[in-house]
Amino acid sequence: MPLHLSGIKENVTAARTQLPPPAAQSALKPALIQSGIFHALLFAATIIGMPFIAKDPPLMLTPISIEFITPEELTQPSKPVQLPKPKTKKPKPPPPPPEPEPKAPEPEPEVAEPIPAPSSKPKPPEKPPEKPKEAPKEKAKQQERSFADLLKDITPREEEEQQSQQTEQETLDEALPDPNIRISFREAEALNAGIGACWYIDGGVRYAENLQPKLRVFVDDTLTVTRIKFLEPLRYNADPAYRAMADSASRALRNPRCNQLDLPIEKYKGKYFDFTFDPRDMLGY
Amino acid sequence: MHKYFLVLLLLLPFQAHAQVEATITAGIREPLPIAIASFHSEGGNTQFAKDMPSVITRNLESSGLFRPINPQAFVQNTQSLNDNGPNFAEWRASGAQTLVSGVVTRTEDGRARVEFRLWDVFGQTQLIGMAYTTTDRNWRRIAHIISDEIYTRLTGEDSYFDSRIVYVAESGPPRKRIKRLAVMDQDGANHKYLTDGRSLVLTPRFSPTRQQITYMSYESGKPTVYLYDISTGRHQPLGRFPGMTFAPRFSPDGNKVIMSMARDGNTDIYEMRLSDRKPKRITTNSSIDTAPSYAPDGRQIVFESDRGGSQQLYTMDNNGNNIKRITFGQGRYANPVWSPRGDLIAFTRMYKGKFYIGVIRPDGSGERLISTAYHVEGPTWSPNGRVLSYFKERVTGPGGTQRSTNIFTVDITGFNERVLRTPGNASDPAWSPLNEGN
Repeated sequence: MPLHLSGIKENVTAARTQLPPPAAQSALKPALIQSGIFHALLFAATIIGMPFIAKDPPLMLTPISIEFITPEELTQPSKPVQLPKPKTKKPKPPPPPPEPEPKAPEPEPEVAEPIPAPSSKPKPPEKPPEKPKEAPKEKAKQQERSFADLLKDITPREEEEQQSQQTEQETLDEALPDPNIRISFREAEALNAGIGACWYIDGGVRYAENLQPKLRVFVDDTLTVTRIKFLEPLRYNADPAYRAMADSASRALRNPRCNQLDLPIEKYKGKYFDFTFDPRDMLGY
Repeated sequence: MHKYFLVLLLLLPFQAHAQVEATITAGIREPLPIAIASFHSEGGNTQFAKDMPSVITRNLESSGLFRPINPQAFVQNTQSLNDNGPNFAEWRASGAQTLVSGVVTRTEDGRARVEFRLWDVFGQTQLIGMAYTTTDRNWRRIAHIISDEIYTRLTGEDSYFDSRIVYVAESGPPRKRIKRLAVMDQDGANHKYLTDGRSLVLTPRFSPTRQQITYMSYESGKPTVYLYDISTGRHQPLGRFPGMTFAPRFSPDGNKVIMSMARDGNTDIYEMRLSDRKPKRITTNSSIDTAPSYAPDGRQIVFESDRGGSQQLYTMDNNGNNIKRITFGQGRYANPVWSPRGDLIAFTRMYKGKFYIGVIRPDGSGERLISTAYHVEGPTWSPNGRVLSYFKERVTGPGGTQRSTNIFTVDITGFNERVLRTPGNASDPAWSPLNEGN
């Protein structure tokens, strides 16, 4: 027999020999009963309580902290696409070259809005004195930047363009409708097919019959969409379903496959458009 | 003079209208192309930075409303995307309309901070930007929450990805079927059995407000409605009644359970407040009234009844008044479930030996059948009322001796039917509300 097993056998034998005599066994009975009850209780407590000890973690939801982040919070916001532009638009620095063009239609607003003019007229005189002051500074900055970093130079140029476009937009907003321009049936069909080819519609959206976003669209001389303005900004900000539909329409108008309007250029050059996107036909209303 | 002045004033806004007006009525009813870029990982690499975009991709694709673009078409890498923002021209070239980017970083206390942004590729704007800080174990839930944010922003509707489904897991031969309660995420992940299969269980329903499930079980020897607490694992019968109780469903506020009770040979609908467990009888007709379901505002109830001679659907006020029949088609209608957005009621219809899942407006108009099979039943709505889930039973095996049951989902339009993967046979699904904190 191996040595390590022989030792165990001796211990077992010793345990057997240590059993108490029959008289002593009767004295142990109450203790055995107590022990049995105790163990039974312990066993029952284990059976009942175990499920609560072994709770499964996947069913418990742990808290998650949430924060909103803005485009400015990108680690290196240097791309031309960054959208803090609205903040930089305020100074209104540069637009000497584009200004003459938007100024041309200015006589129209004066004619068109003789009554609301009090609120709008005082503004233009305020702006011109600001422009000459700020423009030189901006130009100097741009020159410095252009030497230092070409990418950074592009951004302000875009801002300039956008700003000039905005002033143009402001003047165009006040323009008179041209009664001589009436869109023909064929033109409307072509326009519908052209833009509709890029307009993604969610077929199951709720209350789609009430979602008909209106967008004002500005085009260049080739009738390519340059800017878009949502005509119901309050609803755009308050109604998520409307906003989703309006954004979808906006993407259709900006899609390079569809952003050049299929209309006679000479007839519509210099005009702007109010488009209503109506999904009811598509959704079978 | 003043009159003319006023007339002129009123006309002015109209004079300022556009020069050309047009209406666009054509469009594309296809899934929206979306690019979901890999998430950039900083400071302690995490595997889930790689896995999260896959979960988001699967979620959005499964909705049928989005078409994730093959990442092989992506030009800009994640490092550049994170450092410089999107190069929109490149993303436009990939065919994407919108773009999802993300970064995973470590906080000082070792938790993960997941940041994501949704971009409009044509508008060149950020549509959403959110950051979530949590433990690594929650990565999958974060992916669902991000999917929800994207879905909500682009569709304008509430979402459903951070939700769960409780169902009846079936195993064993048809004559000795073992049926257990099981719960999983809406995409089939994090699967877990809730009961051990010793008692037959049926018709589980999630509470809309608490971590509770109500279901019918034979544990006490007769059909009895039980309440299961998910966070503790405890379950208890919902009262002791002389008759059978079955077909339970929570009220929209989660404070009441409505169910059927068979008593003295008649089945009626009862409502029970969970606070005092006192049943209140709602219907008192001699016919079988069962399968009640509340409208989302709690003011009305839809139920099935044979009071008109055949099994049809009816609506009534929550006090049992104003009963109206809403289905008049051939065959039998059953299992009505009111949509969480209130616009539709889903049901099961049996006609000429076939089962159908359909939807109908609460006023009884616009009935549409959207799925059929040898046996299809148990419709349940996603929390946003946009997706329906149900189970289909199919006859399989030699001589048709075997039964295979699976859970399916389908968009409310009737398109995009998909199987939900479960470890075994599955029936009687019930969708949870969005998880707390979403």
